[in-house]
Amino acid sequence: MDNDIGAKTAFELFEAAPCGYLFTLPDGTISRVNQTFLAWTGFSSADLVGRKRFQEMLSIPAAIFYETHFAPLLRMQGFVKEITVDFLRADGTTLPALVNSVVQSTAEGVPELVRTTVFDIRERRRYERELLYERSKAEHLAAVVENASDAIITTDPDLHISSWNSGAETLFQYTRAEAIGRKLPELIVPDSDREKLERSVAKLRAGEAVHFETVLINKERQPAEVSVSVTPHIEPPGELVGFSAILRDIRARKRTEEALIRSEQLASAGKMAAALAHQINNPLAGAMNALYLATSGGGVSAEPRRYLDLADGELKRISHVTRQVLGFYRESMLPEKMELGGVLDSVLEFAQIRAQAKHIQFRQRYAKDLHLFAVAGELRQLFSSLLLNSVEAIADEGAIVVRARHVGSGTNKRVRVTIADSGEGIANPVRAKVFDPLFTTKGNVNAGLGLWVSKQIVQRHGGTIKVRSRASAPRRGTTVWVELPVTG
Amino acid sequence: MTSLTRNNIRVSGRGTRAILFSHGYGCDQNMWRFVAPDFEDDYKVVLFDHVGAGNSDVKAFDRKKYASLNGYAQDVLDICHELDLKDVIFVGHSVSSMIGVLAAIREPELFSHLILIGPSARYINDGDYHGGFERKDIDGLLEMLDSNYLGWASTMAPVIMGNADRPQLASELENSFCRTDPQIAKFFARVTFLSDNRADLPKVKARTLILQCSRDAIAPLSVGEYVRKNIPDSEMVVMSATGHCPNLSAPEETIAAIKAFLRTTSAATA
Repeated sequence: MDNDIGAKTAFELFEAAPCGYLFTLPDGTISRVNQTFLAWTGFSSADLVGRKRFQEMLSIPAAIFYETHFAPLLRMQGFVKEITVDFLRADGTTLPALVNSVVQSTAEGVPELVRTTVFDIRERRRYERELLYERSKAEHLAAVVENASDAIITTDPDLHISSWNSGAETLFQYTRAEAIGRKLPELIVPDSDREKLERSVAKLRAGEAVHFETVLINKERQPAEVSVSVTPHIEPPGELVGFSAILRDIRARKRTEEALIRSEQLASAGKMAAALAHQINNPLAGAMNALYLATSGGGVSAEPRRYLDLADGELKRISHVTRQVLGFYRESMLPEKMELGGVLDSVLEFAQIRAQAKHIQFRQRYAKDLHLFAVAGELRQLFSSLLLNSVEAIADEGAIVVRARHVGSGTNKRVRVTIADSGEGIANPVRAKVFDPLFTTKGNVNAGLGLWVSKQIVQRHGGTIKVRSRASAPRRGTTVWVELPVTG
Repeated sequence: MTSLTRNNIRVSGRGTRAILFSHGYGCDQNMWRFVAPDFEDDYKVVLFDHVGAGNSDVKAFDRKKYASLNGYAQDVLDICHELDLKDVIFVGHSVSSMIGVLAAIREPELFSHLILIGPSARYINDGDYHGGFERKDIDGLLEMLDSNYLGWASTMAPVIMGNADRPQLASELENSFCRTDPQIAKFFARVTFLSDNRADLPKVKARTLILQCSRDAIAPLSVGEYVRKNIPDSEMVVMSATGHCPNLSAPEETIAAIKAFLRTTSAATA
């Protein structure tokens, strides 16, 4: 009687256990399986025993995992624990399960049987999926913070640094290892700003976020202009647990702002000059007419006539200058057919004044009839800017050669203009940057925009611009190539 | 960096001719524990871990370099050069078959024989080509890796990774064999199962043996057959062993097949 109960209990222990239970041969062939597993998977014992291998009960991804991880592990350490797999049920759906397996070996150590328990983890899998989803979201966010170009820093309530992203490494030049654990103010706040800092911290402790622009210092004790936003982190009940700060390098923005202001100023100065020229033009015309009348009538003796001629010459120069100024600002912004030689002549004439003061000779070598379709005002601006750069590059005495000719043919016919100076040349590290906006070697923002604007003009005309330069003898100097399509 | 530590190289054996065993996806040089000792009498036996696996230097893991099997092939070449190996017999399991193929194409004079266990030139079906898997199966595998590495604690990583000199530490941990950083495991899974090396096969010059298991879910017979047809100087042995790891489940049969191949093909040169 007792034995009956014992036998029955043992049977139930196996068949009705609250887990699936399988015996398999070392190659995976199922040799025995309990009722629980059959009920969960919807197969009969006859479907499985001697007919199916364990790995054939798995979904394809789980089967790959079995072959690459599960089976090798089982063979090498004799057991596997807590492996997640998906079983394929008779109806084609999957059963997410957690599996433990133990190898039973012969006295010689040859595996003869594998015993496997299977736990239904449908509920847990859902929860795991959520966890994994949240984790991948958190990892994504962490990557965003880590790779942000802004410096993102967190500290404890006493301002000891607890995290330091790569943006912070770049901005302040301290590595993460150097920064973490240090007090933030000691690292990047200049001594002179300690008082300001105290005020900000007081505000933060009161739970208020602060935003400001300031100058901090990096590891090399160089100033770093930054915008700063600091947020206090407060956990209930009102306990301050730390701060997070986002710092952005605003040096570039500041430079751009300054440059824009400068160019605005220059533009308005130009407009004013044009207005002035216009105002001068009318009385000037009157004065020149009066002079003409005075000298053409005869009856003026030689002495005063010489002075009048001189006055006429000077007035003509004034007139020429005002026409030039007006030319720059009043010319049509629409492309038109033009002759480049004339444009270059007028630009050279304009630059002549500066060139003469430095004993620079201009040599014009251009072909006749350089017709092309372009915006005259823009070309004037382009070539005068390039020419003035060349004049600037020559300290004293030198030559600037301006060449222009047609190249190519058909639709690819272009005008090539080269401006070569015997100036100081551009050193190698600088050369790559000459077309950047705001790049200048002259400490002057206007010059900084010059080549950048030139490039914009050339590109608008569908052309190309190149700079070649040598900063050392024998062929020292800079040559700028501009090619513009004839058809515009 | 020397590949000796980067790839956790172990050299043993009393022979001069080198036999280099290269493990596949999912494990490390432990995969050869039942096979490699049998070659120690006659060969110089070289075992190593691919970067990211076993006791390799995980700091050397570079996502750009190892984004294709070429990065792993480069390491195989580095190992051969550093150990000054010549006339190498390369034994690659699973994905390492293609790593060996790539290495042997790049420096053909270095390798006399390739022995490819369960090779596949491409796992994903493609038109008429039957690789055995669809893209979604590989995505499912990546998800499966995620669930199985859920319990991987980052605090455990240094214990497993950083103690090349105290391997007993690692074996005290459950499922510690072949454990690796889950991110690297997923990365390597992608590289392994999404690679396509079909165009490389005809370029192999070395004498090649394909060891094909019966009923291999990862590399079925037709896939092994494809590799044999496309590597010029190759032959295939279909073993009675089942599964994807005969080096573990049927070491005697694996050893016998390798030795028989080396005996017949080296006779002329020996």
